[in-house]
Amino acid sequence: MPIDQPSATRVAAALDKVAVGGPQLDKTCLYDLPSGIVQGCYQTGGARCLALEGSGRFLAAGRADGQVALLDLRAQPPAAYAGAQLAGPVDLVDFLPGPRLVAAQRPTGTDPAYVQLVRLDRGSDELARHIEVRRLFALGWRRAGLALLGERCGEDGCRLGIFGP
Amino acid sequence: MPRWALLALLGCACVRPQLGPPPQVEAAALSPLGGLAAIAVVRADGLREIRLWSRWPEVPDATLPTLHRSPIDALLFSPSGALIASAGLGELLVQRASDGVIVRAEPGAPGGEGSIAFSSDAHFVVST
Repeated sequence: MPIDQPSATRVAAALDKVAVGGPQLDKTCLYDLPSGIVQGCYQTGGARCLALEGSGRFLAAGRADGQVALLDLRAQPPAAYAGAQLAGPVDLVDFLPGPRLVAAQRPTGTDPAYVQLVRLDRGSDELARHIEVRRLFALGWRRAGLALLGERCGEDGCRLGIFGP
Repeated sequence: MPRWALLALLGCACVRPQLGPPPQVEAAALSPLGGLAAIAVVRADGLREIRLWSRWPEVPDATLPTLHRSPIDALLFSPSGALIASAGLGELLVQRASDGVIVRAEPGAPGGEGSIAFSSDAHFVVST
């Protein structure tokens, strides 16, 4: 099922919908899955990364200015919130059990990585801290809590691994 | 079992194998439950493979050969962790994580991080 949305480079999917956007697009559009019929387009700002909560209720878009635009798609009309605020461009965003929203900025030449974990039911930060990693690839959830996939360096060299914050 | 033997066994379980520097990773992903990681690497012969591992990337639980000729820049587990999708310039592959069998290959995908997604039930994979 092709969707015609020029300049779109980012996608996210839930049970019955697809979100399509990109850094060059001011709006992120939602399409029904599998028909491809557009359900609406929402002002998220340019999205460097996108996530749809599994049930399709929440959409998150991480932006270059450090903001994560969060939309409650069940509200009529869909309501926008400030989901998270990072100091630099948002590289990773996802929804985790809880429900939680997680957003991360990868390390750059001068700045360490930064991770913010938000409880959506309480609207409060559960975690917001710098993370000492050389590279940060992905975020996930384990029984013990937030899981990070990245590369850490120490006295005995650099190691790729799954670790906590 | 003598106490020293038990301690030795525990010690073995906690010592990381010394197998050289981390592999050069093109893309990486965590399974939804965070216990399994996938990395896309280029082998010495130039072919690309996906390694699934839970403890050390040098000792993968499984290695999946791929058909990718260009760098893999997007890697993603399905919500159940049963499938893994990979994308590079012009190629999208969906493979079974258990045995690497390719269940879908789509030419023409542009690739790029964030360019692929699974629906919640994994019935659909979406690519830009």
